Amino acid sequence: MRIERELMRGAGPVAVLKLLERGEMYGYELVEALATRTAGVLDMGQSTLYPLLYNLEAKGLIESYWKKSAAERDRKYYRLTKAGVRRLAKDTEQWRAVSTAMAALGITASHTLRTPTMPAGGAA
Amino acid sequence: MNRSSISNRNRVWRALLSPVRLNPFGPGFNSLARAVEDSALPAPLQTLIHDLTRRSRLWHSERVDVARELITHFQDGLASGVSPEALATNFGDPAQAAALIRRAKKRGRPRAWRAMMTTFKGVAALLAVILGLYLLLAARAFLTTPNIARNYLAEINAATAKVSESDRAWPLYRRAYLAQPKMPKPVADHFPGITLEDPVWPAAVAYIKECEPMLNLIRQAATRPSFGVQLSNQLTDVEVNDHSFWLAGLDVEKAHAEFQAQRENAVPNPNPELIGVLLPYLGTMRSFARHLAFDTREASQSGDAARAFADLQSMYRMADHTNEDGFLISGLVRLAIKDLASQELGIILRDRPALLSDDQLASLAHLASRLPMKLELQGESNFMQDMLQRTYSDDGHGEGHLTAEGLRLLKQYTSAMHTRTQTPSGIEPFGALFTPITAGLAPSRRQVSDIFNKSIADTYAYAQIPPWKRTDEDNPDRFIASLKQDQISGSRYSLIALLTPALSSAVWSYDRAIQSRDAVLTAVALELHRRKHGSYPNSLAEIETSILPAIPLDIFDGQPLRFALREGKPVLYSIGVDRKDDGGRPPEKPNPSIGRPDQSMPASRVKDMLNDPLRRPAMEGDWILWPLPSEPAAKAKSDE
Repeated sequence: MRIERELMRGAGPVAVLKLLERGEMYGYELVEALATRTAGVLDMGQSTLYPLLYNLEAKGLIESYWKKSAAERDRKYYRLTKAGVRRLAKDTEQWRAVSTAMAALGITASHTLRTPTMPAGGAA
Repeated sequence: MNRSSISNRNRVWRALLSPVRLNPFGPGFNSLARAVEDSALPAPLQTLIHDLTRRSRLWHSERVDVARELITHFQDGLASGVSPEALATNFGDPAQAAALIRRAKKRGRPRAWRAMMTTFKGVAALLAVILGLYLLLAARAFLTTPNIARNYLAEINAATAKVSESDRAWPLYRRAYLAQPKMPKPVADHFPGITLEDPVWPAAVAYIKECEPMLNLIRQAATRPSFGVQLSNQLTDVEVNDHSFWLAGLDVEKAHAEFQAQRENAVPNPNPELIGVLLPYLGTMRSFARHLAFDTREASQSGDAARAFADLQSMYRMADHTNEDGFLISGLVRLAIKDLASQELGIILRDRPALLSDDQLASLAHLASRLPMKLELQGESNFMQDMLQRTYSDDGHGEGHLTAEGLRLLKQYTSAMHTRTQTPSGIEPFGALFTPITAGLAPSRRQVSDIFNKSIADTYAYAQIPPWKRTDEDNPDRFIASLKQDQISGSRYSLIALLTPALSSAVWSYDRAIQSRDAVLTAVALELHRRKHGSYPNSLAEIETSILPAIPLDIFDGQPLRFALREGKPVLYSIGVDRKDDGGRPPEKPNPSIGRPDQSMPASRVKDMLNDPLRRPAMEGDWILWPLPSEPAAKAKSDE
């Protein structure tokens, strides 16, 4: 199912922040995680993800750095900043309120997505 | 300085310098290309990266960073077993990605750079607005032209042209002008205030006898009902060739050359500016009046009552001729000629009271008071309306804006005015570059017209107020002065500054002329009373109303003019500037400037001046109106 752009614009950043909550991740890893952990619902193309990452970085919510991976290749990793942690907490609260409200209206049901198992902290 | 601040500074410098790399094939270009090439990615993916980074138009360092990240991204994808085609497809639209990446990356640029860019954009926007406004103003100023609909000079001349040739005085005055003999210099130096005791008296008498043909023509001209002069902005051959008559004191040779050149270079213009009209006849008429004044003196000395009467009669009549054009300056010349006639009549009444008959005195008194001496500013209004139609656009309803052509004309006249008066300029330089701004800042045609009309109306209202009741608040010059209070305002209202005369001074000139005339009329009444009753009255109230219908009022307090008998001789006086009756005692040191309105009105200001020990001797005392003190003072007055 494809999510409308406006809805994705609100959900995308908090989803990325949530993925980075457990630790650093690189771009491709984030793409994969979004696709698999949300059953493709939040599968945003790379052309959307990277601008999103650069935006979050410009806002100071995440920071990036280059480092060699296990495969001896340079990768750019992203991790949450303190401001990012605070923003995630705030956004999570808001999304829960929205979700509760939607459930009260019968728009959403309280259930968990069936997703493939994903190792926490990425595949670095 | 810590490492962090150094790092920040370096980042800012890099950021500032990076966009000025103009060579796309420089080291930066090579390193980006090499990074993509070294990635060993399939060609479609390399192309995608190149395409995206190129479209992003980011700084080089940012593009390298994006390219490196995309390289690792695609390498990870290939390592996961995804085909290059699928990776390229899944990536999405490179153009859209480039735009989004550019936007996001720019948000992350150093704050100093963003502040600089914001400032730059703000300044650029402001400049664009200013430029747009300037172009609009320029179009308004340069693309519109004034609509010269009326020919004021022709209208004035048309009224004169209706008068029959035999009723026109000017042709005779012109013949008189051409008949004038050359005045000997010693006579010219003191003319016409020369007395019997003066060594040049015989020479002056010889000269005036020589002038008899000229004087006869003047007397004849003065009897005609209309002046009948045709106004022009060009000098005729006569003035060019014989200008020394009315340009006494100038370098004759130089003046002649200038006028000749002016005449030769003149471009025929059927509708010339009214402000450029030449009034050479005013000088001529003043000169005629002086000749008649001296001839009156000589006739009086010779006991020739008929000639003295004819001369005085002619002076009063020709004075009214000069005002036919309606210009303020002509009105002031009229006052001056009348004043000169009254002065000479006063001298006869002082020195030879029996010379003129009752009928002659009555006739002169009638002439002196024939027309009400009233300030007329129609000529000035015509000047303004003519200049407005030449400088402003015209929407057909009295509204318009200042045009570039109008500014050029204004510059021409304001420059001429400042060269002549040597006053500091209130008019800004009208460089072509500033023309749209100056024209844009100028008040509208209706505003200028309304302001000018208001000042004219204020002046008429001011003239209606009895002089002793006027206050500073009534003064019409205050309004005009408020428009010229600073350089910008002075520039905006330069047309008004150019064309508005000293209004309160004009009113004051009329006040004083009326006071002098009334004093001489009262002197005539005193003489007629003496002849009838054998002695002067003890007070002016004793004079029969058939001789003196009303006692004139003193312009300084509104009370009847003061009258005293000194050794049996009457004295008429005003209490003068100090507003105190000193029993007819004149100031110790008469000062011509005390006659100016700013020195004499209003009473509150004079009070302060009287406390000044340097001014007091000139201000304390009465103004003797008749008989005027004989000679030195009379000479000074005539010279003035």
